[in-house]
Amino acid sequence: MNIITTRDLLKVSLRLLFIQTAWSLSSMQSEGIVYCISPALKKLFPEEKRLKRILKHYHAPINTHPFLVSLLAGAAIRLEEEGRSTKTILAYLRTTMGPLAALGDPFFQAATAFASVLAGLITLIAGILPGIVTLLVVFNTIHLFLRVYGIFVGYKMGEQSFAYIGKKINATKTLFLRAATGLLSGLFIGGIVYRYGVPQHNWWILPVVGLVSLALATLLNLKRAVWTYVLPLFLLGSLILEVFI
Amino acid sequence: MAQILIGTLVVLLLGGILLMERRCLGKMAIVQPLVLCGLAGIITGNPEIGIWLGVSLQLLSIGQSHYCNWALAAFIVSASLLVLWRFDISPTAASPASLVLLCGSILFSIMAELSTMQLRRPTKMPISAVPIWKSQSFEVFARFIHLRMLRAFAANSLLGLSGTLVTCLLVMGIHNRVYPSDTTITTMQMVIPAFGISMTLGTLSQKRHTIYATGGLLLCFAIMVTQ
Repeated sequence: MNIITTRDLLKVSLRLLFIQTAWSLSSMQSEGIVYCISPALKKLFPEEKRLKRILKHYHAPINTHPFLVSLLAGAAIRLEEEGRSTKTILAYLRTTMGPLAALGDPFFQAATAFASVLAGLITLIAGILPGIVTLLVVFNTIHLFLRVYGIFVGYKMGEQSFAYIGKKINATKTLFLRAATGLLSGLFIGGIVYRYGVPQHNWWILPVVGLVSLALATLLNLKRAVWTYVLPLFLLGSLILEVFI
Repeated sequence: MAQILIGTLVVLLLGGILLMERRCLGKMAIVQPLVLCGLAGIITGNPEIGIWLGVSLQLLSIGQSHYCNWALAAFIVSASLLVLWRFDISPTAASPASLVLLCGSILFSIMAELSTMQLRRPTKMPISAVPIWKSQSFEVFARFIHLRMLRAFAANSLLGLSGTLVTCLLVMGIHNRVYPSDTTITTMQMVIPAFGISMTLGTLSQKRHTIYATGGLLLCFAIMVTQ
């Protein structure tokens, strides 16, 4: 019979929302993980001496995507409950954290975030509040569901949980989200043109501005650090233009 | 005087909590420029400036330049809008005041992020030497986390307040001293978001994404033509 209840897992998942608070270069998320799963560990090992020995299981730099760390935490609780050795638990954490991060970064950072922002921008046509609500709902539904679901999957499946989540957040879904982002960006640009209208007498402005934007985009993508200088210079240039014209 | 003190406390408190949200408190997109600037626009009764600033800053931030703390920039812009509203200054989209808001907040955020990166230089300390692990007590970890949160709150509060102060002073300095033409303002209203779109496209400029974007654009035109 499992000692850890749904309530315990929900408590852990709530603490996991704050895991990045204690991030450091030496131990990365290790201190955060200990803090987050300590309610479950205290329930599993009421004796203090045993608890002190358990700390060794997390005495290594552990780092993964913050939205998927719940999977790691759930699996760690399950392995602790099964009484696995320090070597097994550490090996599982160290070998899973990298691939988990590799799953999470393109899915959340490069796909979900973009898609939800663009969905919000497009919904601005209906007003500010719909735009804000769309952005918050689309983004938060996806990551909050995975963050809470992840702990239950990790606890239920233990070492098999990574294979399970790998099927759910795979490269195909990430590609689909990025494709949707591309499509949404085109719709957004079309919306901007619709809002400001095509100049009737100087129609050539639109394709020229479009080509210049594309050329600038290609140039900027060559070295992203350049944006740090280009962006403020562009804004300062616009301000100076307004002052003198 | 009481109003200024209350305003300062509110900016400190909100700055600390909202800027912590970026990394620590859930990361729930509340500090996205569109959200903060949009809300500031609604509160000040000037939704157009909220939309223009929010959209411009959001598009610029999609560029994912890690050298700028976009959450801080969004907070500075929205807090400055509220502070300026209390002084009866309501910038319009693409006016010199709004450009100073954008410029000032982004420059301050870049400097803040670069300074933070310098201060957080890597220490060569291995995890075995980190003092907290020698204690062998779970309570010490809890205290450690709580202290870290307090420190982050204090640092973010000060950053938010100083950025807002600097930007508001700059806007007040330029307010009612510069009067660009309507043509210039209308041009800037389009140019700044267009530049932001370039930065957005810059992150998507792989061949297939450009094809999807073109597809979306053509779909939009098809809808416009059939209406």
